[in-house]
Amino acid sequence: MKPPPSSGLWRTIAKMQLLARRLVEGFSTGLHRSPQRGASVTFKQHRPYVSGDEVRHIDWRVFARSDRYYIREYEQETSLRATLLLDLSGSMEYAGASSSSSKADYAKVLALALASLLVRQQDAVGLVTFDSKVRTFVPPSTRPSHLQTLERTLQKQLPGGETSLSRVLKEAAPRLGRRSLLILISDCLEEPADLIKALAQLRIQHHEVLVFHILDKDELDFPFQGSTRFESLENQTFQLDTDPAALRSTYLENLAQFRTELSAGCGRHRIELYPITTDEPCEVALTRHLSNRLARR
Amino acid sequence: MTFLNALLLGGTAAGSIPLVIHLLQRRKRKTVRWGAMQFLLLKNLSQRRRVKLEQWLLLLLRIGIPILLALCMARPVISSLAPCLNQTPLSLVLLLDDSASMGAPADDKSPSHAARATCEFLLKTLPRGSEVSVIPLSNPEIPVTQLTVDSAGAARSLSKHKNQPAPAQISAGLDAAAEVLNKAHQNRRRVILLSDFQKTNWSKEEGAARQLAGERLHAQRPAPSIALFDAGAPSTENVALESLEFSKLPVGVNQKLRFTATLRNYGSKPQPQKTLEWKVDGASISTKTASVGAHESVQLVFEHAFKEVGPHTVEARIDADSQASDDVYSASILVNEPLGVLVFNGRPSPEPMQGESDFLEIALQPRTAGGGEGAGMLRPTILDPTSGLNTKALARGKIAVLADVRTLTKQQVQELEDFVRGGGGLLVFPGRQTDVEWFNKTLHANGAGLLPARITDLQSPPAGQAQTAATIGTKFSRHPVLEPFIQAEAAFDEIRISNWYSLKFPDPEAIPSGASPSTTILSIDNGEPLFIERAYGAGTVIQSALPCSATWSNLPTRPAYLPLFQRLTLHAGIAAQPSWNLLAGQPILATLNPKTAVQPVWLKAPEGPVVEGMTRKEGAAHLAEFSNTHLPGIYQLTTADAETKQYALNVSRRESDPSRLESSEIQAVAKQLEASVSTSKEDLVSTDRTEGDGREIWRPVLWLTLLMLFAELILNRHFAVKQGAGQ
Repeated sequence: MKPPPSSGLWRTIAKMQLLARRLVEGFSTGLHRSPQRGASVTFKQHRPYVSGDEVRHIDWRVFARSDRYYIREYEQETSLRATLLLDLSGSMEYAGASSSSSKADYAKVLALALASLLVRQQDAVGLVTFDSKVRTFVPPSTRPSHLQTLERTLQKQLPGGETSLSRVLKEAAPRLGRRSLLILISDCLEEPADLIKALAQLRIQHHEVLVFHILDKDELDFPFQGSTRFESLENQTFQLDTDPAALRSTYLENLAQFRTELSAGCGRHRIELYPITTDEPCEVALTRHLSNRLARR
Repeated sequence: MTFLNALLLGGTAAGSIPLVIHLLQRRKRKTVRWGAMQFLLLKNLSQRRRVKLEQWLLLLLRIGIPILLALCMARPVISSLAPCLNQTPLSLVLLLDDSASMGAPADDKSPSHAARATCEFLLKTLPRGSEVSVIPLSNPEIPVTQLTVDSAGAARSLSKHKNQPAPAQISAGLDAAAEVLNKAHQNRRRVILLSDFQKTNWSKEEGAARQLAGERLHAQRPAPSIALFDAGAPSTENVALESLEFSKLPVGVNQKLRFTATLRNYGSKPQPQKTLEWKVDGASISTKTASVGAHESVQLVFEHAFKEVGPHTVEARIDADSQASDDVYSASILVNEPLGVLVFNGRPSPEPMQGESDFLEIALQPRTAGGGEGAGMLRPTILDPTSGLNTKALARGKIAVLADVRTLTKQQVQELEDFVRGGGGLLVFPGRQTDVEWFNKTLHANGAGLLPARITDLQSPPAGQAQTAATIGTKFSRHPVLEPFIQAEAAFDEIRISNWYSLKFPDPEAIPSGASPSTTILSIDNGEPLFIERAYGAGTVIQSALPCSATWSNLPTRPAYLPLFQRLTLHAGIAAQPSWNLLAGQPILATLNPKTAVQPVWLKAPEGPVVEGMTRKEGAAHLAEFSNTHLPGIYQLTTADAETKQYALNVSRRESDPSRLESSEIQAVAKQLEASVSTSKEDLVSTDRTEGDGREIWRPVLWLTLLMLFAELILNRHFAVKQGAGQ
């Protein structure tokens, strides 16, 4: 088990908060929209008046031109309920030689950055940390002081235990409410089919799901050489003595297949997947992905 | 399973090397705590099990390779398959008793016939790849066939090989088999000894030697199995010419020589009309008939005087019976010119019989004086030692006598030594004026000189006893000089000795290397030697403790003096001559003229080719030696100077007695040799199937090792690829 993030790491987090503020200021509102229509500044459409509609919603200008009653409808921008699902299983503890932090620390910084981002735009942010089961559940809140709560919570959490994303998502689903934004930060080291199935279930419940897929550069390159014992970070009894050079190509093939399946599954269910490697600075990765997201909308 | 190089089994410890390497690698192995195990770990349990199995298989192969290699080098022998081995190649040694008794009777019922038929059967039914050697027990040093895989060739050689008129040498045969098996290649080894179990060849006296030879054979690795094949009993009826006795002293022209032939009937039937024919130089001279009772012997005498100087042969022959080889006995006689005897008288006297050599002179001139056995064979010449002892004088004689000589000059000693070394005889009689100190210092020289013993004190009888007696009763030795006295022990009774020199033999450790040992010819009754002899070069020296005169004893006046001194002188003259009469198989050793250079000599064997040899120089003598003398009969040796010598070689009469071991005794012998006994070839084959022979399996083990090596290489590569693909 790795020690809690150092003060250096929290400096990075502070930097991230600054980044979040800049992002919010830059993009002002409109990161997300309410599916509910109602009173708002943004016109959506006209529809014919029906009995029971409030008279104050009749667009008199259209009546003057067409002598018919039309109701003016607006798109309602509401406060978003977002929940950060942070994977703190054993596999997230891995820190490669070329990375400055472990996947878990990287994920924590990323989670805080996103939380900061969301709180600053008046959205409610909650946090769920988990390994094979839900460890902590922090309900969403829009209060600025909520960020400190999240930070303290993350500080206490250390990676460890096995991953069971699909089970955790099922377990957490009832507590997530409806139509919320779910941001999963994980290495997703699970059977892609099971994971996709669990995420699809969330989509069925009208959640919007974002997946930040965190991997270490070593996990992408598999640079090991010489006789090596691989000990599972999640299960101490799992170990493999092997010559990694002989396994490299197969490993990379398996990894590529896994990523392809994950990507395809996410695409199929309109889940946004953001692959991130821990050697890339967190702010750079986040900026890149959010910019792309906004560009797509 | 047994191992021929069991020490190399220690190499199996190398099997731990892969494990040690594995453990060391484990210690050196770096550990990575890894998250994405799902891409490394196999997806399902069966795959994991398979990989684990593959890893175990590789480990077993890696451990197995050095172990098998060590096993291979230790030459494992598997014996549990013995009953199935009748078609396994083997190394077979056939020890064939080819002694004379095996051929009796000379028809298809002889033990030899049965033994040879069995050999042929065994050779014919040998498994493919087997090797065989046939060793004749009459002469195990020269096999009928060396170890060969050509069993048909071995059978042909065997059919050409005849029985030999020589006894079977069992222990030597077993040793020869061991030597052959040392070079054998097959692991399954067998020694089959085929014999008639004649008692004389399987005597209890040779039991220890036989047992030791058997143990040496069994000590071989792999140990051979030994089988005894009882080829049956030889014919029990046999009359043999057991011996032919005659005087071995030199004989002269017209001198009658007496031959005594002994006929022995070993059979149970009396032989009433047994004819004995005497031949001289190949011509029949006389025929005599004798009746020999069952298990009895008779002696027949024949006398002959040779008319010419030179080698002559005498042959006694009886009617041939089941064993022809013992029906003839040959003798080679060399008829000599008279031998010149140079008597150096150190104390001559004008008074009759007062001179030191007067009695000896009369004794050696028997034709004019006393007569006797050596009559006409000795020609004495009396010389003054001071002026007469020189090379020129010595060249005229064969024997020199020093009679009370005081001293000699250095030159004379040197010439005398050369004379004896070249084959001359020397008799030394001390006397009153003998300078004992000079004799010891110069002629004895601590054993390196001519004299065999040191002269110490002049002895006299104990106080109160005027004279002591020299008797040949209790002190009699079997020396050839004393042969006539065996039947006449009283001849020495009246001899009285008042003084004598005590002769002291040198300490054996002080005798120079190469010097011959001394032999006592006759002693006086207190045990002190009277006459001793020793070979010196090619000649003989006889040293006396008494003078040859009547100074200190009455010996010269007694009847024994003449024959005794004649025989002593003759013996000194011929003792160094190799014998002309030998047993078949003994090497012929000829002494040739020392003055000629190394030269070729030719030996003609009876019924055989002429063999050429070269003489060799040994000291002052030239010797020629021929060792291939297994055939009995007359061998003729011719030198480059056309000098001819004849040698009579006779068969040992050990084979004549046809009695054989009882069944229980054969079983006892078999037990002693840890052997099985068979009486038929079928027995022999069935015994072979049940004996615990083993088969060496290093070849298949080596192949298995190589196979495992390749398997390890291939599987290692294959598994590595598959493991990768299976992740």
